[in-house]
Amino acid sequence: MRRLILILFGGLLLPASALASPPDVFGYGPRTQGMANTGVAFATSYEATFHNPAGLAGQTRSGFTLGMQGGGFQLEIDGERWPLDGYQGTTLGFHIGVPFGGVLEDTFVLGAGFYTPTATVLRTDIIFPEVPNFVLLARTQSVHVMLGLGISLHRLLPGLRIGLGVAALANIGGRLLVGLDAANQFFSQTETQLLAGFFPSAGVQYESERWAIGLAYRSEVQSDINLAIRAENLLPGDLELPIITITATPQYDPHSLALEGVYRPTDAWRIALQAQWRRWSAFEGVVGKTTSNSNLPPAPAFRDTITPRLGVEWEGARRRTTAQLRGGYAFEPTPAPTARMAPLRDANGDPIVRLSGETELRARRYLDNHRHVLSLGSTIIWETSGGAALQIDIFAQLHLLQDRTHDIPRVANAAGEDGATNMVTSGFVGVAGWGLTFEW
Amino acid sequence: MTKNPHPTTSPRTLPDSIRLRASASLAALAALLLAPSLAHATPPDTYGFGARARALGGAVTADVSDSSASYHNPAGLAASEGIQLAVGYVDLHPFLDIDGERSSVERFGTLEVGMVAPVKVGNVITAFGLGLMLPDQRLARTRSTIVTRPRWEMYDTRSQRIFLAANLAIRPVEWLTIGAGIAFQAPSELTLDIRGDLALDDPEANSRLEHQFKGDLTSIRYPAAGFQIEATDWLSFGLSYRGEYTLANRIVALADVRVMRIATLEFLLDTFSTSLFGPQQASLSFAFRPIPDLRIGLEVTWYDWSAHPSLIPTEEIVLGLDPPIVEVPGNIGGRSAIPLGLHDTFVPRIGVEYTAVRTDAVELDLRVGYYYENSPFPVQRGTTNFVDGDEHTTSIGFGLRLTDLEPTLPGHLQINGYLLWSRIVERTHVKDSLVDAVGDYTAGGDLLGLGLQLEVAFR
Repeated sequence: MRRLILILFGGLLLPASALASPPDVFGYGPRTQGMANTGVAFATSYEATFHNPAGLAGQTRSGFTLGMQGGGFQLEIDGERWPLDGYQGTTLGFHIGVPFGGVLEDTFVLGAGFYTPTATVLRTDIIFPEVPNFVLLARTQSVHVMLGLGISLHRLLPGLRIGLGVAALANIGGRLLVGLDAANQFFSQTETQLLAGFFPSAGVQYESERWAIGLAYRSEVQSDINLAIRAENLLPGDLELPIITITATPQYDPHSLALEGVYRPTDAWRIALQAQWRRWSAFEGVVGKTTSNSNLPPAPAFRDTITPRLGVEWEGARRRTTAQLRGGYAFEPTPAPTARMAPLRDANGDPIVRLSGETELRARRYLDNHRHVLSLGSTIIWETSGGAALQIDIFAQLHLLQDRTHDIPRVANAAGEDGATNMVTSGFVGVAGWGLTFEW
Repeated sequence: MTKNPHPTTSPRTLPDSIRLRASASLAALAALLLAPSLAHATPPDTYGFGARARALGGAVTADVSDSSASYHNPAGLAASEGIQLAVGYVDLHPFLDIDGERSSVERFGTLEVGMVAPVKVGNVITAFGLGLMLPDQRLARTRSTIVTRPRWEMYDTRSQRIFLAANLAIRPVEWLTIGAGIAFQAPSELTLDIRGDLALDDPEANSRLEHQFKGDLTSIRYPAAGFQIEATDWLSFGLSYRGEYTLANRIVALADVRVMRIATLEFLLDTFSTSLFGPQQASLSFAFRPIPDLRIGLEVTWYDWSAHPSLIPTEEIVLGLDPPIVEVPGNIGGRSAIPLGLHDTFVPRIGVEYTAVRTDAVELDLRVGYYYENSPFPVQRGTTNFVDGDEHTTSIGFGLRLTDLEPTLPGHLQINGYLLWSRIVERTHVKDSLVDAVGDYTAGGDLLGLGLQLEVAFR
């Protein structure tokens, strides 16, 4: 228990040197994170920029939020702890009603959500496929920028909203030229570029007095790195070195579609049930060819996933103070197959077949487990008589990794080699955070 | 009240019974100062930010109150009269020559977006502002320097960078506004590890190499802050400060590969380069209103260019082949940094704005601005070739406001436009060495630019 508490809160207190992909893996915003990352049908603040931009149109006030979240990993391979640094980041968001009048009154709400890791803007650690790597939990941490516009169609149908959003992510490209000049003096020339990638999202929400429904789509979000290294005059005569291309995908979130229903049996209770489909099968892997004819590592062979989520919230008010308690559960199935010997691929992506007719195999140790996500959260809101409010949110999540036995050992290529047994992965992840919101 | 010559809107006011007073606002301001916010800089350092500010030669620190305050003086956000949204486009074309030949410096086109959201709590106004410049071509570009290739250092890659700023401001009393934010830049460190088989006969077709990769874009934080004071109805002044940042890139490449399956090639490259430096800077500005329809801004900005580190990359390289099946060079020398010898600069600015038309439905402002920026770079007498020159920039512009748009728009719609021309004074670089690889040259030229901006301001 002490270890769990340390992991939950250590991420918030310790200097972060982190690895993770927080919004897609751990959610975005303390209210929805406290309800197991539901929110497609009820999130209405800046959190809606991530969950469903249509929800922005449900806001009647403008607001500004500052928060922080962090997490720690307790991952194990064969019972031994596998080190993975915790993560820590700042959450910043706002939602502002555009104060048009006339027929456009109370129609448009703009929102923005930012997540900025404390220590780094973008981190990637892509290693050879045979080296064990928790490929999802150790995804890079990066800045997330999300913008949304909610449009209320209340004149058409009371409670109906639509929304459009966009997430921005950077791709890195560049080249490095190294060589020797005529005086045998080394020189290098580097040029790097950050190119913007924009990824749309869209959603719809309908809310009545006792129930609500939401549908949200987020497109694939991918950040790529592409660096070309060329050597000049390093070898004598006409001998040349090939152009080396460093390609990597440090950040990848798949296409997703989420459907959520919310029921309010009384004014005090809210129950949300969500199913989210993620198209992980489109994931092509984290690394490409090093030279134009180099082999490719084994394909990741990820499969699509469907994640069920349940969130429950209770609300009580006394005078100008409102308290909310919430909790949730989600089952996150892993898209990754077990670690195994998998076909090495040629430059065209086809399996390499030896002269003997056997397929050439390479160990692929992209590790991941099914996760059971338990969450808790609370909110205190102080209302003023003039309509402004100060809100404090806190949340915590516990991700329990379901034990998984893989098809190969941790180092050897087959069970029985040097007495090796097949690898078993397990562990848990603790996440916690807070947010402070001022609304007017 | 001289913040805005045309106060057609009023603050979004909450009743006085609200008791979240200045302490809450200050707490929010402090929180932003302590947290990493989202800001990159550089294009505004070169070209300014916002259509009105650019038309006035950047002499706006004393009385800026639109979304361009996110760059020029964050204090101005709290002088805004209501929610403002602005979107515009900037198009700048360089015509820079070296010895009469046109240099290949890219045009600069960027989308500008700004937002100001003030709220009045009791008698205190707090405001949140966002400013974004999104270049057409890319978010950012860094290039290391080739000593022997003359480069327009101030115009080549410095502007090729996204600018995204978030700030908070507070107006605790009627005559004072204070604002601050934190900006960050992202230097990178990359480590490459390469293994596999290297072929020397048709290496492109026959080599089978693999790589693993570790990369970090880390963040550097630097502050921005300022204040504005309205001394009288006809005089206001402002002071703003922006911190220094250095953007450096490091690449470490390790290769341990088999050559023709008979030898092992070991290669280590460690290169470190400074690709961008932003000096700390402070602007002091005065705005006068001798008559209600005329506004004159005077400003001087100090740039701490003398702190500029060397732009020459340093390298370390190790190359070995065992057994030595072919000859590889030994004792390879890398480079070391060369001091640049920059000096601090003081940039004077002046901007004049006159309201030529004022009716119930339409108002028209005419603007003119000028600034002189003396080059911080010395004449390039040695091995370096950083080309620059003193710059005279003149701009003219207009602001057309439509003020009778209720009930749909309770506020105003404004179109701002401008033209600017920068003259880079010709400068001759005479080399100390008679056998210099580049030799003497003369460089100068012009920059022409225009921009349009649409602004919606709500009451």
